[in-house]
Amino acid sequence: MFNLDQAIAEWRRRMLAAGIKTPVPLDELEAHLRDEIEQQAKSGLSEAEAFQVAVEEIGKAHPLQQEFKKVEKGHKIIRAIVLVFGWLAASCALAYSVVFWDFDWNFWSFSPEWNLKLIWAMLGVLVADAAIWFLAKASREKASRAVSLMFCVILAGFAVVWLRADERATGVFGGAREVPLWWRGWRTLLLCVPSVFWVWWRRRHSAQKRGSTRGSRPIHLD
Amino acid sequence: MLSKELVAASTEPVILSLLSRGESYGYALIQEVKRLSGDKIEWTDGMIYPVLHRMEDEGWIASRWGEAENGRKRKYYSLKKDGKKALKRQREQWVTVSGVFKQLWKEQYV
Repeated sequence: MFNLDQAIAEWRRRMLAAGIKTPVPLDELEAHLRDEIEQQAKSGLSEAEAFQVAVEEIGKAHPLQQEFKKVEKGHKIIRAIVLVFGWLAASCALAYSVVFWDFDWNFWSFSPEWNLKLIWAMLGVLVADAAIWFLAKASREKASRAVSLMFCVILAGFAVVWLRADERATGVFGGAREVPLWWRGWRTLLLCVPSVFWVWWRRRHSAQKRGSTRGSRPIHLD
Repeated sequence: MLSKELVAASTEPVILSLLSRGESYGYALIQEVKRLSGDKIEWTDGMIYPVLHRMEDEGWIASRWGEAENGRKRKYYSLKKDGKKALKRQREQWVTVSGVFKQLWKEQYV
């Protein structure tokens, strides 16, 4: 003899096993399932048949779980934390590389020359900038957006202060000769790159949001 | 039957439009879409919920648990201010597309 409550309890177990969370969204799905069963039963199906049809209509557990996973808050928190640490690491790497570069060239005097240290510093700048490009692209939600803005402002502020400081001193690290403007400007530009990336991706995200028919985030149909 | 791509692209504006008529819940939204489209738009029922949750995350819609006439609990969704703005934007786009087709097909006497 078919027992509806037992069948629904079994369906809930299958959903839970596939990773659908309770109470939300599983309770909401169960409410939907019960509505559909009621509707199917009204159209003349037996309780068992109505249950079967309703289960098929609601969809398979795994694809459903995959869709829910994309909007889960826990998942989003982890993503935001990863992004925040990513920004911290990339900003530190960029600042360190630029300082290292400057340190190598200006510690005692301004005497640029190609050496291994310089190549390391340049590589550091490139890697940090590449990382920041992707981080700026990924920082869409409020938390990582706010933190990334903070890092960009700190780096840009650092860049501006540093540009001015060199006018008075004869080099950040007490060099004997004055550091030329082109070098100071170049250093400032490097530190402003994250802000440029940030603004670029904010504009892109805003434009996408404004024009969002958002067909790229579909309701999947099996 | 509509193509998956077109159904996917129209899901959010359809939900926003339905909720602009008043508070509703997942099952009723699906039934209403089926009725309005003459069964030509078919959503996999469960898949409407991730979309609703995402729209809630975006701040377009709000939800609350309430009690149905039959005593069962049910989650109701309603449109928020940002949702109304999103609907306005999306509506303009769909009206543009629809207008283009109207003109093109009128000219071609299809």
